[in-house]
Amino acid sequence: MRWNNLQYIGLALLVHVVVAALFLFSFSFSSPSTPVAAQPALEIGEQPPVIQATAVDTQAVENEIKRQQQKEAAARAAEERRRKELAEQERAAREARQREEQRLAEIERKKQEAEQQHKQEQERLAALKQQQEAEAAKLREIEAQKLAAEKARKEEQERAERERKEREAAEAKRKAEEARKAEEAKRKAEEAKKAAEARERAAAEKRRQEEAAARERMLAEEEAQAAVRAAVPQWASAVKAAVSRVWIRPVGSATGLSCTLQIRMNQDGSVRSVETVRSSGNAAFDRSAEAAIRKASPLPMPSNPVAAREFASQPINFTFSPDR
Amino acid sequence: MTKTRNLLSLALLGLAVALQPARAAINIDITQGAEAAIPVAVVPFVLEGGGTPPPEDVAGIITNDLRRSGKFEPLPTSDMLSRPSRFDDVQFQQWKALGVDAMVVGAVEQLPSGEYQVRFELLDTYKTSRILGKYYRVPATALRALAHNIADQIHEALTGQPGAFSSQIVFVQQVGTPPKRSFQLVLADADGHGQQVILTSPQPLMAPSWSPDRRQIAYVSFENRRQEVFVQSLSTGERRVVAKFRGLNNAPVWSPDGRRLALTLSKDGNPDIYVLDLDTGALRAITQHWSIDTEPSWSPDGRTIYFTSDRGGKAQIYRVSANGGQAERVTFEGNYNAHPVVSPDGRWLAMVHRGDNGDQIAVMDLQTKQLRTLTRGPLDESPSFAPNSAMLIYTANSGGASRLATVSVFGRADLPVGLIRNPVREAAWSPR
Repeated sequence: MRWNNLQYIGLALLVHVVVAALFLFSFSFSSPSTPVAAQPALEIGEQPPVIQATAVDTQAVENEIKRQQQKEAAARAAEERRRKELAEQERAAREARQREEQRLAEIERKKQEAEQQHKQEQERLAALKQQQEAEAAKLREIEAQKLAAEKARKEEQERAERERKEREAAEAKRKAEEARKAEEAKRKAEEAKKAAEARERAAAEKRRQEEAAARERMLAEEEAQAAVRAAVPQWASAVKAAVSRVWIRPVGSATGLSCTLQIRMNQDGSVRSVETVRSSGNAAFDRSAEAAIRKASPLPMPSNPVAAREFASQPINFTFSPDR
Repeated sequence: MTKTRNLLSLALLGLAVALQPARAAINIDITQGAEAAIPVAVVPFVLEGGGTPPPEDVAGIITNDLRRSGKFEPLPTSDMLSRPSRFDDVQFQQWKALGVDAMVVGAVEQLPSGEYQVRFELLDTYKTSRILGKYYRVPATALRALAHNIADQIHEALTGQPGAFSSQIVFVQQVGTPPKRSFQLVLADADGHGQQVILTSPQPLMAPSWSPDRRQIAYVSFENRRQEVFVQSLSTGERRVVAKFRGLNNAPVWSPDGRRLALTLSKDGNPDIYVLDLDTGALRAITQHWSIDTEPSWSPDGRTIYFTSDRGGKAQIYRVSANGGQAERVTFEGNYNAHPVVSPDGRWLAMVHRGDNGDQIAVMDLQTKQLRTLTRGPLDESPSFAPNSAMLIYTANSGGASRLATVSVFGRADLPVGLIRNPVREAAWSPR
């Protein structure tokens, strides 16, 4: 509530101030708008006392005012013109002076620049001269060094030449020796190589002959094997018949007996050895089988001597199995 | 380069040789051969030293034993070209030429003590090697037994089966003629030698049977005017009656375990098979049939009893569990098959088979049921197996005479048993 009151009070104050301001400004607006340059600024409190004027002839006053105004205006215009001329003159004089000063300054600056340039040129020339002198000195030094180097080189060259000649002489001697030795070695190597080649040829020939012989043997072997294989059935049946004819089994032996004997024989078919490979478990049966083989000895042999030799060279298995 | 190639080719050659197939061994199958007596030669034993010649022909006993077995064919002494007594003296070529597979050589020498030293060697003629060779020292009285023992060894070595020459037989013989007739129970070696009368009775004796331990004989005696079954100890001669039931008391046969007797009794009217427990006297009827059941024989396992029955109308062989029960007919071949005897090895059933030539001894292979006639007839009876199951002894009657003979189960060597002059009845071959 109080706050609202304060707001309203504030608002009322603001309205008053604004109204007052509006009054002041409207007044001011109604004042003449003539230029008042060079006059001090008006102050708020010095308002003409408009309220006290009474009824006067307006026209007369206005005329008077107009005339007054025109007079003052003419005077102000003349003053203005004069003041303007003076200002113009003064401005022109100032500008002329300024231009002179500028011209003098320019001359001075140019003079100084020329001096500066001259001085720099002097310095540059001096530096150049110094540099040239240094270079010349350096050149002289280089020249001297070059001469010294040349001299040293020549001496070196001469020494090298001497040494080279010495070396060449030694080399030539050595080479001669080497050549002689190489010749000798070559000759010896040649002889050795020839001997080795001869041996190699001989060995190769021997190997070739051996291989040929081995192949020959293999072929012969194969042929013999083939002949032997071909002879087996007939021979086997002849042997089988011979052994069967003389085999006497013990009377009343158990049935199902079977044994295998391995024999070796001579080329005439005579039995050399009999070995029991697989027993029947019945000694008497085994013995009867062995007796049969021995009784049939000499076993019939094939007429082909290769086959005979072959049969005689390997074990023959006999299986006795009467109940099969 | 060349060398490398050569090495390579050599290597290849070696490889080729190595890769050559190994020679296939040559195999020859022999399936044919004669089952025949083995030709042997028993060379008469040389008398060494200067002592008295032995009372027995050792080599001769061996020869006879071997021949009797049916498995050997001894070379007649007259065919021998030499008479070596030891391996080193044998010219094997000679004996090979004579075709003998094996030969026996040996010597007898009387020692200062009077005993005899006997040496023998059994030789393989073709292998020219010694199979057996032994020394013995025995009194003169043991020479026969030793000879039989040697024959047994030779039999076993050459046939794989034990011989039966050291076994014995008992048989019944009739001595004299009525009214001075008597019956004797005789114990002898299997070849008929060494006979001992162990019982003499004015009344008939029948059906002797060996106990498995060879110590007792069971038999039937009529000495009390009726059939009774006796058991007699061989060593002491002690006798006892084990069955004297009303009617028949016949055909006693010892069980394999030796504790029982199977026998024929007719105490209940007609003959049936019974089993008598010898320890307890308990009796068990095995058959109970209106027909005649008789002549029992045990299988070696003691589980089965074979017997003769006419329940089919004619005598045939049947078998029944040793505990009794349903009987099963065994023989079908022929009109008459009787007196079954099972071989000790259980393989054969011997019997009296009435064939084309009268009553003949036959054997049936119990596995194949194949029947083979072994003897000629016409009135052969009472077969009994040797302990090796390879021979049988039986009684052969012809022309009013009766004699004992042995035959191999393969029908070979049907030979009379020597030294028996009197009419004989049943014989029983001892166990081993």
